[in-house]
Amino acid sequence: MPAVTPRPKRWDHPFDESMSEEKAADLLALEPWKGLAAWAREDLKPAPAEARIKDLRRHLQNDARLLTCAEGEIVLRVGDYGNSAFVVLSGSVRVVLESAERGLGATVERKFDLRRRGFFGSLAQIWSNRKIVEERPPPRDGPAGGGRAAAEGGPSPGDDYVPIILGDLPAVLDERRTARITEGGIFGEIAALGRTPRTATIFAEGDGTRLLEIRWQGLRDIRRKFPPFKTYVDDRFRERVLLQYLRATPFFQHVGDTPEIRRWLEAGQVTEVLLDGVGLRASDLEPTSMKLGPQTVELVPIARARGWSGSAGIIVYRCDESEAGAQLGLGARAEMVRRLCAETGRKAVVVYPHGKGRLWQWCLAEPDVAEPSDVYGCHEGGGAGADELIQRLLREIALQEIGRQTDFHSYGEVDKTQLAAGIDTDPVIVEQGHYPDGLLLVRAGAVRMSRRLNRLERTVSYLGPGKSHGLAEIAHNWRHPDKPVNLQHTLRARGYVDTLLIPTAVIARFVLPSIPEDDLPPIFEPEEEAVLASADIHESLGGVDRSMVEFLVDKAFVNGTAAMVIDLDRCTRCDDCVRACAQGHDDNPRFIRHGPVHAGFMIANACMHCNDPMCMIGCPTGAISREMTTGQVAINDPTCIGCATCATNCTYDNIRMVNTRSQKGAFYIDAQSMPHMKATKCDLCVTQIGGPACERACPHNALKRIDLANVDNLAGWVRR
Amino acid sequence: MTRVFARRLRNGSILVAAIAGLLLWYGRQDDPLDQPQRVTGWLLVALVAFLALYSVRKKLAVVPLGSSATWLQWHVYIGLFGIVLFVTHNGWHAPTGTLESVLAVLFVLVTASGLGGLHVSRRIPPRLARRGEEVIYERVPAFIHRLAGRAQELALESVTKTRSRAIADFHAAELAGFLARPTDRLEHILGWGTAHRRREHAMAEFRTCLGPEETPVFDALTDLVRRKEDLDFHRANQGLLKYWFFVHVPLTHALLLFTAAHVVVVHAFGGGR
Repeated sequence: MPAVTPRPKRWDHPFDESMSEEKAADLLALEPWKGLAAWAREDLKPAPAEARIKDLRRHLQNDARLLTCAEGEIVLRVGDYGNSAFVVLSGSVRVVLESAERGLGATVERKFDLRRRGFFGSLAQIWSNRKIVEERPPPRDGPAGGGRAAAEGGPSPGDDYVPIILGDLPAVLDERRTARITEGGIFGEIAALGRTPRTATIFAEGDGTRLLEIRWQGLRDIRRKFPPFKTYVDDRFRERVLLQYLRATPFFQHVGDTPEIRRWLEAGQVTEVLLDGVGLRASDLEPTSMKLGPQTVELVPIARARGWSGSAGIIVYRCDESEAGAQLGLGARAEMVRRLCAETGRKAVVVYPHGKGRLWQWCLAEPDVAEPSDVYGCHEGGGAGADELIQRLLREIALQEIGRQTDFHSYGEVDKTQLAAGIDTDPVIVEQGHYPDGLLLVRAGAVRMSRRLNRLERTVSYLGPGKSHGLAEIAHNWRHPDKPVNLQHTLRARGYVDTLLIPTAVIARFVLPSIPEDDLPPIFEPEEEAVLASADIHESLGGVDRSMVEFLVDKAFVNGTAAMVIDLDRCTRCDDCVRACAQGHDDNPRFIRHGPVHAGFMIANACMHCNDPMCMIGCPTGAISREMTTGQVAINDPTCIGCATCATNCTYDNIRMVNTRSQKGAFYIDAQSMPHMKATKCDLCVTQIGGPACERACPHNALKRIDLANVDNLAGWVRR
Repeated sequence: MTRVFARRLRNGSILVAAIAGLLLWYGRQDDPLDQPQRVTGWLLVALVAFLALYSVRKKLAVVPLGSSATWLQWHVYIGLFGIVLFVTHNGWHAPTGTLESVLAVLFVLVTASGLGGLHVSRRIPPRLARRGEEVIYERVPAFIHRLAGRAQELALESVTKTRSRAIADFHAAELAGFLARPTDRLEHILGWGTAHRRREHAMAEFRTCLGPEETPVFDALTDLVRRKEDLDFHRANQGLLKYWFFVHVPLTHALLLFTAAHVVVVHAFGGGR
């Protein structure tokens, strides 16, 4: 006999049950919601405006919650996957502007602990699995609390929120470069909306700091309904992500030390450089003048940075009176640095042009130097630390110039039907035979790289996030302008692709001169192009057949970070993998050992935990999200309302809708006799201590979870 | 050198070294009071118990006890070592007592089924990968049923389309039985192809008698027959891969029981050894 219960709805599980309508209305009086309400009243007619504001209040009531943080409490950590954004209501928070490896270290390693089973917990599953397949507690009539952890996503993390408090906050503030975000400021929205990891650690600065946390699906809806909010978020996205991206791209590691950039700095054209991050602006500091003997030297701060080797922060000054600077003796320079250090409490570096050859000089001192004789590095050539800083300074100048001239382009759609189509319908990004007008960097999505052979366009490889295209051609043309070559491949978007295009002229000015000759791509021999094209088709990529590459790209499997690849030459079809999966998931496996096959390899119907999970896009409750620490795409069962949006969006049919049942085995149905469904999929055994059970259960090493974004991963396994 | 080859070379070398060590040690045991059989016997008991534990590991799939593939490697190489150990334990002679003879027969059967299983698990998967569509074993009967229905539809359609009963009669006489259920299991396992050739010949002969209107219908029917053969092939070979365990595992349980009995008997009637 079926159990008739109400169907789950969008806001049955609000972010915080204690969030009342009154509290939400109060929030509308605070920024940024106040501004959005004002926009609605100004730009819309009265009735739609009120409806929009009411909508905003409902989002705040259901998709947001109030947090009160202690002094030094970590709010979010670099590397975590973000499912929510934060607004500072009172007090302030600090952003740690350090790279991940030089951040706050192990103290903030793990904020949320998934309730992973221990050894005996794993063993207990054998007899403690539910007796009824897909048994669930009865749906609640009306909203129910999801708890903090439920809202954060993940399969069943429970309420394991353990606040981590920084012990010695003054020391952290002193030693680490941080930036303050005050009342009305928003943070975390880029990671939440982009389904990407957090780029910085943020902690509360004072006791009782009040924050409003908004889960991503609420943020998404507000962004859609309020254009000013969309503009604000998009602008910040461009401003923040681009420079971070350029800094993190290995290709730009050596950028900067070119005669042109040195000339800029010497000529005083550089007014401000942001070293390593956002927020620490040298323009926040006032220029200063210093009397050194008979001379007065004007010092303009142009950059602020964290110290090298973990030491205190640095301020870089430009000495505007170059002639005066040139006349300063060694002792005067040391005195200048010592005084700057004493005034700022930082190491100080003075950079200024000097002499006929425009040689670089700098002075460097510890903050606590007492005597001029303690000053070190005060000479031409400088110490190792000074060299490092100068290189970083030059690099940042170059990167900022590159960033200014970089264009953003997006191609394709987040559309299942487009992915299902073939090569001819994929949007062209750049075309073979065209002039290489810039270096293309893939920021998100998957790109098909193809080449024409006779009249046929064949896939030869693919590019994932972080990969670039066009450097070989640009480098060739830069070295041999008399024998230019055009692009050798066509790039097409597989689904939605975000790219950056750095113009050829910028690459030629700032990037290529800084790359050692040996590291430049080889010169093209145009007469060999036809031979090359033929070889492209027939050669293999590190052991993976070209046709396999084409198969992976055609089926869009290159989006998968943990695709289940089965070697059919080894698989004995014993189904140990299926049984293992079932054992870990209440006796119902979360994948089907079946799927597209090519060259003896099957990509099974198991969630691939995509780079850009389309399943997450339409989820009305945010039940499907990335697990915070590891990034697996997981479904939070209590908040899933069974709408099947994720299953419909999934290009690969890897999400199954299941009928749920009561403890007595009766199917849940609603008043219209429609069954209550839940979305289920592979969670990569995120709660098991041994990793994916399917992989461990295969007796013949025939099954592997592989990140297909990089063909080398597959090649390594195929060659085993 | 691939990783798999390197692993086989390493494990094979260790196995050869272990066997050599065993034989060397056994050859030096010239004093009967040292009771080398007692040492080899207990070693054999431990070894058989360890080999049987693999079955437990497979049942505890989510418990972190090491990967199944690693267990299988140990299972295979220790099993191979066990053969030599077993022969050594018997003093290179056939056993004489009833219990010992049964035990020896069981050991041989378990070993043979294990080696047979290892052989088929290496030989059959590539054949399956290259024949027809990949299909889940349990769904084969459903697919066969669907093919049989489609074939019957084609046969009936041919009557109305061609105004001839030839194809329908041929279907009823030659193909209906074949399409109705999984067939030719042994033939597909052993790769004989006799029934396939006979069927192909009969169909080719029959096709020559058909008119231009009938040929396309019959070709569609032929395609269904080939798909049915592929399904039979998968069912037979996947079945073999699944069901050899039903020989190996019960025999192992019997071996464990008789081993326990053997230990008791040896200690009870072994003259205080």
